[in-house]
Amino acid sequence: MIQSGLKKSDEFSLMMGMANISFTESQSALSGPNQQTPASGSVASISGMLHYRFRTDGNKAWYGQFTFPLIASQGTYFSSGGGLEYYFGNSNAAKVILQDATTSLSITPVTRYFLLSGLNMAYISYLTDTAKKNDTLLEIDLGGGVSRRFEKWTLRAQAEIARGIGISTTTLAMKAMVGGIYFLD
Amino acid sequence: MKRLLFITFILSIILSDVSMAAKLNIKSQPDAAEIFISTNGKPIRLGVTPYEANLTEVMNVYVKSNSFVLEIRKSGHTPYRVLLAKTTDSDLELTANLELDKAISNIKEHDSLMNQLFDVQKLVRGRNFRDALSKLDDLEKKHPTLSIIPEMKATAYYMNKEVESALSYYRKAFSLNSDNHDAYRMKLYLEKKLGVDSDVQ
Repeated sequence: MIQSGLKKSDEFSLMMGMANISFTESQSALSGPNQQTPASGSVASISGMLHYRFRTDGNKAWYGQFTFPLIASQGTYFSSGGGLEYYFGNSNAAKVILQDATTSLSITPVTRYFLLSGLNMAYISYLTDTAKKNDTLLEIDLGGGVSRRFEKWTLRAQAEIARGIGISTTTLAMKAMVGGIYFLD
Repeated sequence: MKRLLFITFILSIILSDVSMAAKLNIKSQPDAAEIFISTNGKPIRLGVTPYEANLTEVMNVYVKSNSFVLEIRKSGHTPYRVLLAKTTDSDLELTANLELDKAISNIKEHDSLMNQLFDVQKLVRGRNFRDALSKLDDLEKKHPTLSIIPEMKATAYYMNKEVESALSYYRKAFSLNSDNHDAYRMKLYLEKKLGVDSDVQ
């Protein structure tokens, strides 16, 4: 059955890149006989990201995304959340499809730039001199990027900075990801 | 170093934008249809389907206002027109299944109906009344205003010695078309035979 009418396509992206998370323990969270000073350091990993973009309205769209480690050293970092993307640089923020029984018209933006902001729940595990620890974080995420349509595929590249506050640590995560977009027509 | 490589990669993609312009892609079914573009009422021929061009160039050369009309024409088919906003930064893909001209599609429809009525006639001659009536039921749903279909149903019933049903369909055929003399004659004949008042239907 052919669905009739105007539709803005949702988008699913699979990306890969770097995530670098600097952490600092809070003084108040220290415990144990060996722990005298708050630890600080960083967790770096080659990470993957699943990104789902939906409900485009004008030049804004909602998104949900999940970051996970692929290759990690001295700790792991997971993050999951959502927010809002603001598109600029193109009159079309989304692929638009107009379809009826006899006609199909699709308008796909070639280059788009976007800013994003959102909230994440994150999990970090890290090594100090004396122990392996972990924490759960609430992150505020800010970033931006570009999507570019090529002959056979569409690229999405984005960079983000996320400030995280956990029970025993505060973090600053920097993520840079690149991958492909799949339009869910 | 890794970050530097990553940034270089992204920048190279962005800078390659100049050579990767937006595309205009038009297909039609059937193909070899003519494509016209117009902005101020006068259509200009772009080419024939399947058609692929640089959208930015097409916009710059032909579109002087904020909107334009794309029209696809092929002889024997209804032209397809679409009004679009001027755009140079998006790929535009249009696929149109052109509809046959009303006159041609009517001729095809009538031709198909006649073929099916001949098939029904063959079934009636072969005394296969069940299949004939089943086919006529289908045709009646598609063409409820044609008197020939209830008339043929009446004939099938009559030949199958179901005279009352035959009369009912002859009456229906006559009510749909008062110029159907055969249906009228048979209606009168069967009314007389059954002793039924001709006003009662």
